[in-house]
Amino acid sequence: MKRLLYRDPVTKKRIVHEQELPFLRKQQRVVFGDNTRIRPDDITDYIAIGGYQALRIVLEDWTPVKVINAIIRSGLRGRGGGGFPTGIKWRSARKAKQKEKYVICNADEGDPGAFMDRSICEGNPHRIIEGMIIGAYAVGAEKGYIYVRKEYPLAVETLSTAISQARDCGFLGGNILGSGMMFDITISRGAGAFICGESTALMASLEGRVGEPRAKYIHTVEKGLYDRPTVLNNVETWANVPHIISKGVEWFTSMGTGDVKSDPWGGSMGTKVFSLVGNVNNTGLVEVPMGMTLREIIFDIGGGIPNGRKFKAVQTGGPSGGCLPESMLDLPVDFDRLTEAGSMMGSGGMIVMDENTCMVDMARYFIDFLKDESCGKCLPCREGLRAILEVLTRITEGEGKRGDIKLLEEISRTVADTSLCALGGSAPNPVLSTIRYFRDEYVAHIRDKSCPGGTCRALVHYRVIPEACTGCTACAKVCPVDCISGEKRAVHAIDETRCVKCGACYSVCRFNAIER
Amino acid sequence: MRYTINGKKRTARGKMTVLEAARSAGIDIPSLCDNDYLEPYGACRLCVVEVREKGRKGWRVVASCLYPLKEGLEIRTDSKLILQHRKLLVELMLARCSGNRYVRRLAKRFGVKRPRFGGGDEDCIMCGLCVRVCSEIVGAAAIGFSSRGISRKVETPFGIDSSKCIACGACTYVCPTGAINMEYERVIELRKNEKEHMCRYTLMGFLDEAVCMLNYECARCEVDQRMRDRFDTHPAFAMHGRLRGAAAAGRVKRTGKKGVK
Amino acid sequence: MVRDTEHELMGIIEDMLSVKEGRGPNGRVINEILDRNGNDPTRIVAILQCLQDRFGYLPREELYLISDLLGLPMNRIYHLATFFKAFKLTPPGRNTIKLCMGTACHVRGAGVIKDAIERYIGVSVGGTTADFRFSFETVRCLGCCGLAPVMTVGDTVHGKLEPSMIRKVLEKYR
Ligand SMILES: Cc1cc2nc3c(=O)[nH]c(=O)nc-3n(C[C@H](O)[C@H](O)[C@H](O)COP(=O)(O)O)c2cc1C
Ligand code: SF4
Ligand code: SF4
Ligand code: SF4
Ligand code: SF4
Ligand code: FES
Ligand code: FES
Repeated sequence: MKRLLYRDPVTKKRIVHEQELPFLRKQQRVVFGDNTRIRPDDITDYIAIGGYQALRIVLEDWTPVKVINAIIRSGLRGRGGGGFPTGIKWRSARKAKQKEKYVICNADEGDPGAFMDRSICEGNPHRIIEGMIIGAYAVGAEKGYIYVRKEYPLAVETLSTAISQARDCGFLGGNILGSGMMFDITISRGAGAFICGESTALMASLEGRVGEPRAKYIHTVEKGLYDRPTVLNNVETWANVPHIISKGVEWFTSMGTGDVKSDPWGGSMGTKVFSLVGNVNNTGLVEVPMGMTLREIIFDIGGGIPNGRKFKAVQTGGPSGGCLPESMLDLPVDFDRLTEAGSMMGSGGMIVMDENTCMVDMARYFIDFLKDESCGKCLPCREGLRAILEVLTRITEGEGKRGDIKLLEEISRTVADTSLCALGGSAPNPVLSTIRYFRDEYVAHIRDKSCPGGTCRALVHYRVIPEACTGCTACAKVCPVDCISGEKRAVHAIDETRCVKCGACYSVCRFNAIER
Repeated sequence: MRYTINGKKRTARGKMTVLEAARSAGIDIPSLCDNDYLEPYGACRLCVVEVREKGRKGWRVVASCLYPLKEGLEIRTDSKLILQHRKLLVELMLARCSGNRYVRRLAKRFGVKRPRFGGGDEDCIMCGLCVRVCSEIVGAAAIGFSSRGISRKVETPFGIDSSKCIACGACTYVCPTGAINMEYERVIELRKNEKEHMCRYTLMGFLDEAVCMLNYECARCEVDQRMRDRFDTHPAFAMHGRLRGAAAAGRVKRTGKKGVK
Repeated sequence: MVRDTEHELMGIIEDMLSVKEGRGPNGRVINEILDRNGNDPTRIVAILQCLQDRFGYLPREELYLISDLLGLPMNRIYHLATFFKAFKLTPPGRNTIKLCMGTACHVRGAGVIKDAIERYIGVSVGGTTADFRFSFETVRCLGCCGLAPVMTVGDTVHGKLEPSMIRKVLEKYR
């Protein structure tokens, strides 16, 4: 029963595929295309579609260096946030002198509104495991960890089953496929902290300490888990590895933008899974080749904005990403273009907002989230986010002062520059990007005391337009505080003193007779 | 190792952090959460400087107490950007501890009058020195942090009296803001009885030499010895009376009196 | 005098033994949990998770027991227990409402749902009703954003919520 329930969003999405062809046609489902073809709890399914072939190839006649070079040439970059070239990371870990090394799979997926890693863990766990074994072979690690977010019990279950099956088949353990390679994987469950997705915090957490980041001036590929060389990659990154080996580097680089022949930073190759959510018709996971424009993703695949509303902004990169306006819709989605535009790829959250969204409120929301998730170790993030939140809150409550925008920019700059870890370092992004692209909304709040998106409760007022009201009583029925009065077929009225501004009447009225 | 600091070329030997290098060059960088006896922590961020690594184009803002000195590193400790950052950090600190006199003094030195945002009236700046000294040096692990983010606090588990505290006073000694205090009656009494020594583990109070003959041989007394090795004297004594001045001087220096021009 | 010390030492050893055997009514449970995790202090988070699964929260006595048995200072356990959102130090209500305040849900109006729940059960986020009928917490993304706004009561997911539905949904839970 529980199983069914948790799968619900996924199954529902499948239905959508079959009906709506454009939704599928533009996608290129490399990473999670197989999800529908196999049963995740049965390893034979995975082997039947060519699974563990890549591992066999590698163990039989590739040297670790050859694997690393292939990954470097493929231009695979980390799907978890920074977009660091995976092969380069592996190479540094291989070079590190200590003997004992670790590989970790980051399945902490903390971005609210994103669930692509979850769908891979639950739908195709062997793909991740195979990737990790190959990675372990390349860097010379004998122990691996998968750190799974606490909210994903099913993922833990599927992964555990998959690991024991892989052990039974000889893909994990003391003598993998008779090659003499040793490697095993342990699963660790998170306990509810966004910051534990950060590499050093995740490692601290694995060591049984509080998930507090430390400075990365010495990289984790040299001194990571238990101070040993450690490779940490995202779920999707690991899941890309087997295909790169078995289908070849050329196949992988045929998708994407830029040129990675000479410089692994030079482009973005392969596909990326996005979790398309918010005010968009088709919500769900979409996998597209790098370089597709935002417009194609939102309008062709996502089917545009529901209820005939207008598009306002799209937020990429999770809570500390940036909000991009309509003018940026033709931006090709890859690591570098998004960063240039003041946002980032992040792990692939993509939240679409329509015209009824207030951008100041959105910035406030993200900062509020990050303030709650800050570990509190360092001053700029802990105190700076509180200060930013205070200023944003006063703006949304109509108490904004002249100079507040400048103050926000000033605090943001210091927080971004001086914070200890990337949470504080990127936290000001939502503020800075909304100021950059939606400055007029800030001005409207501060100077005119009005909220163009109509969500800042202190600044909106609900009123019945007498000319349009037909007296259908729909609004009076939904009002949670019963502050709408009026007879049937007569014009209704809202008692503003009691109105809690929930907006229920506004959305229920079919005659657009309520204005705000 | 050769490096450049504020335009001056210098050389250094061995492993050290940028903060140590700057100190050896006679340049003072304000630092609140750094202590010679403890592992660097990087919480206060006041020690930020700009560095440029050899062969790189851009300058980076880093915490000098953690950043290892490297060959050919260029360091700027007092650029306009750094001074701006430090000033805002102090402003944030003042917003948090609006009533604390040490923080107010620090703010004055940085030219911050009134913070432009609210915060609270705490004394603790979360530098973590007390927690670290209690675990790393004393070994008692009586106090720790709790919660996260803005609600982070220094406290004993569950906020109740900790039986693990051996009343050594090390935490009071290192706290830069006077946020953590001893019950002074006990300290004064200690001092009166300097001939006797107190077994802080059994919490039995003072033991005459006749009672405990082990006298510093016992593993438990090792703690006392470690304190003596590290601080010359027991900090609980240092807090009271003769060494008080010196401790206070240490505090002033740590907050970077000469640091900012 | 020497005997005193000896005596004291014996006392300590006895203490340790009684701890090993399982002190108090739940000693056995704790030992079982620790054994399942290999008595490994680095697995403390997993141990706390087992403890919470068992009791619904982290009881204080048992935490001290774990601290003794693992030799892990209590200040660290306490930090862990207060750092992670999953851990509770007080007993929860019979039904736990978890309202998603993730981005997708926020955009689709989780804020007003929160108000509606608070109005209905009469306690705000983080609280438990006096009769232990409900505990109310917010979480960030339940991982089914397609159903936004979403909440779970116990293990049941309720999606596509509207303020007017709250009363009907919650009435069922006693
Ligand atoms: C605050 C914060 C949260 C993060 N959360 C995640 C996450 O949930 N999942 C993830 O894969 N990476 C996350 N990261 C990025 C990781 O630190 C790390 O860069 C990544 O897992 C490396 O893998 P990759 O190279 O494959 O991207 C987060 C980073 C920060 C700073
Ligand atoms: S930036 Fe924030 S999350 Fe990162 S260490 Fe500092 S306080 Fe913790
Ligand atoms: S906004 Fe909500 S509270 Fe106000 S009148 Fe409409 S339904 Fe009633
Ligand atoms: S007095 Fe000593 S033992 Fe007690 S909390 Fe302070 S440092 Fe720790
Ligand atoms: S009590 Fe003092 S030493 Fe301890 S963290 Fe707070 S300011 Fe630092
Ligand atoms: S951060 Fe370096 S001294 Fe505090
Ligand atoms: S944001 Fe609410 S379920 Fe994801």
